[in-house]
Amino acid sequence: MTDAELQDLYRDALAARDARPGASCPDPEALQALVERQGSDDERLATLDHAFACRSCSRELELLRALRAAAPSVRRPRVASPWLVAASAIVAVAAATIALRSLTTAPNVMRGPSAGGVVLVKPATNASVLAWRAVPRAVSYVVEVMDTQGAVLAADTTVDTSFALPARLRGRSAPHEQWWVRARLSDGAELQSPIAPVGPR
Amino acid sequence: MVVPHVTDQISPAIEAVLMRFAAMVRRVGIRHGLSESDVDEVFQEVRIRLWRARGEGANRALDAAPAGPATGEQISSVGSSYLYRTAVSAALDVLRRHRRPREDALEDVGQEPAAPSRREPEQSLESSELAQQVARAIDTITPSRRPVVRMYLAGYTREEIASLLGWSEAKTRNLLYRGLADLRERLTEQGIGPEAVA
Repeated sequence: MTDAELQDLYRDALAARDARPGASCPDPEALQALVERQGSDDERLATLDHAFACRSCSRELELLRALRAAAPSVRRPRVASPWLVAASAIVAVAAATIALRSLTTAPNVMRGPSAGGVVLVKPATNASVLAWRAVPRAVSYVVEVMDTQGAVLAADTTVDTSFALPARLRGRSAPHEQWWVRARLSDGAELQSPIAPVGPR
Repeated sequence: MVVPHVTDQISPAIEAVLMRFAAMVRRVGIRHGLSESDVDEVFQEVRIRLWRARGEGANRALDAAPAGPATGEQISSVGSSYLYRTAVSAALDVLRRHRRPREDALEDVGQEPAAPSRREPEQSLESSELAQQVARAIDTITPSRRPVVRMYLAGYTREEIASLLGWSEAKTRNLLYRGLADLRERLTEQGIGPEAVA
């Protein structure tokens, strides 16, 4: 199902809901706090999750958001202080140094998001097959190739640790296409790889 | 509710800036279904507040601009923050007013009807059920990804989502990709594949 089809269906689902505010709707102040980026991430995500599942709140949020976006010369609160910027620069330099050192010794793979994640093998130039390292206790792998919008261009569920790109995705320059792999384990758990570029092919 | 018209009781300079502000809000909001009447109601409330505040000197800074054509520079240099706060306060009051229990059913006439389906009548029941299945599948996505997916499916761009959440574009993209992947997986588990809307 394409993104556009999902969007149509989601709008249909929302349109069928009651447009009046309900008891579970957050206060208008909570919606405004979301617009102003105030409060914790968890609070804002919870408010946002409700707002975009509720016709009344989404309309109210859009009004407040539009006011914010259109306000003449009103700046958002600064998130980063000069100290934070300086600290970030130090961390970035340190990270770059570590990365440069690791280039000389690291195998040609992309590590997963955690020690137990799926490890992708970096595709060679013009590669027609994507491969990853086997995960202990994995019963199957789901591999997806996506465009920049997250739309799935190709997908497969396999017990193997490789995926042959369909012919339509081979031999073309699409530097923004990405892929990732999820391993399903025998106990029902799931491990994921990072999302990585497919690269030129 | 009877709203007094006070347009000619605040200075032309401020009125011009308000009109421009309102037009911008309409332009920003119309893409996501914000109605003109919502915007108009808020800005009429703003006018009332500015008019009331004149006597108290609260908007002197706003009104300090010399007579003649108003400029955005004047308002942004002396009172844009005040104007924005006034507009937000007015909007919150309007929203609270809308949420109060209605005294009579006639006011509900203004409620927007459900958007008509673009599909043929014989398909509407099936597609409606499919839409509900999609909505239910979204409810099962990991909470950190779910709001991003909802916003995206409601028509917001990744940049808009990142801006509202204060996230980087990369973080937003990552959570969106994974959230959409989760959603497709849930739908597949329910037997809903690419052919479902064909």
